[in-house]
Amino acid sequence: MSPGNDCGTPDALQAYLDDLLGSGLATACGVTDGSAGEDVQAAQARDRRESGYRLLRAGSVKVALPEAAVAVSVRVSTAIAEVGHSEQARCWLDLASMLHGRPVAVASPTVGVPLAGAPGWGLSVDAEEEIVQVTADTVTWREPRGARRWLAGLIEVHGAVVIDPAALIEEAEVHGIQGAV
Amino acid sequence: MKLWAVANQKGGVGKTTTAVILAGLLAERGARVVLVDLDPHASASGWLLSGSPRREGVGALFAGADGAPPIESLLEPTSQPGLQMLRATPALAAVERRLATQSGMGCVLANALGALRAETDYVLLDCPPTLGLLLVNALAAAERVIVPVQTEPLALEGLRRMRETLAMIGRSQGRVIDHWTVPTLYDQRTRASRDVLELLHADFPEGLWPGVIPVDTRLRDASLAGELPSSFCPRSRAVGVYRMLLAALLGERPRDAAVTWDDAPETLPLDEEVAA
Repeated sequence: MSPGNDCGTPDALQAYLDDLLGSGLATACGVTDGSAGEDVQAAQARDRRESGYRLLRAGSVKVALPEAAVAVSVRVSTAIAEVGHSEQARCWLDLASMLHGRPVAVASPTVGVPLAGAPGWGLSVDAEEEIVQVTADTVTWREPRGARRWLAGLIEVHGAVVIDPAALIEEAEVHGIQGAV
Repeated sequence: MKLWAVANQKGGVGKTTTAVILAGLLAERGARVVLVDLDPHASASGWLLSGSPRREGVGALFAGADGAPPIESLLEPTSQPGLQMLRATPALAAVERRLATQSGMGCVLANALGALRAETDYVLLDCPPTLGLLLVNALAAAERVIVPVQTEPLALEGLRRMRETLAMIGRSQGRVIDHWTVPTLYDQRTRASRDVLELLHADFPEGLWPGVIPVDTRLRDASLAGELPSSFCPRSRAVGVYRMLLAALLGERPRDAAVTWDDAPETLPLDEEVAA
């Protein structure tokens, strides 16, 4: 496969792009500050045709976060679940409240999920479930995204809503954290 | 740090102009901006760094883990405070030829740019018009892709190809790439411009910014002078419309808010060519 604007069949072009983003790097490719090195290496070892998603539960909704977007999971106190509360210089977004569009009672204890490549941000959720591998074509992408652009799609087989963390942060940055709720 | 790529697989659509102007406008607002010229033609580098001595450029990042210099050492200042640049050199074409079929090379740029995170607010990537290593690196790194589309008939095929590429990169990465289609070089005097704009709205509504960037000879004058349009012709109509585009990109005005010719009257006088 050679590059250029006439790249043959769509399958051949997709294979070329997968290869260039290569050997699992597709899930890890992103601007990082190097602090998530172990996660990147782990992601590189995966089959490049699958992407890892971390399944989480927030306000009785199951959500899926791209594994490459997760730095490391930590269990923290309920205090951080207050929207906008900063701890360790990180702003925790209350995902349950954002999903429901209103304040939701916080589970105890709350799980904080720091976001890789976004040192100032993390999600607070009720629980962590499992990490699953899914191929991109099993995700029903939400197009157009609509008002809440951070709701990116649905992994039907797991009944999980795919969260786009970059869009979520952008929403919080642009409209303020309360406005994102 | 926000990473925006300005890309289209068709040449001559206003990619460099768009990248240079948006970078200048962001810096003018006080943001810390890095403009990366990924096009071996080096148009953006020639525009903003023409008087500077030749240096190693962005191609050096592809030298491999042992040979690549720190990205910070490749940055060059421009005349606009807050705006730095990573230049393209003709050697970029060799990088494309040598490495374009090598597995795993699509994330070199994203990984290198990570080092700028603490001291940079925005990175703008001016992309080459050919699908290959450099364009893939840019699209893989970008959280948002701005696709300028010249309002002329041949541009529609380029837009279709670009959208297919974005979808494929997104599939590889397990995400949907946010893309904005921006009609450029619009000349309201010509039927072709008006017809193509109608087709864009009819056939490519998703991600289409409702405004249009007009043909404006002042932009060419700015590039000839080696100056940023935001300082060379800040009151030109095109710069005024780019300001509205930037406001939408920053979420200061709704993405789908209508943009009319009269929205920027404060940017008068009108460009003579457009007003004729």
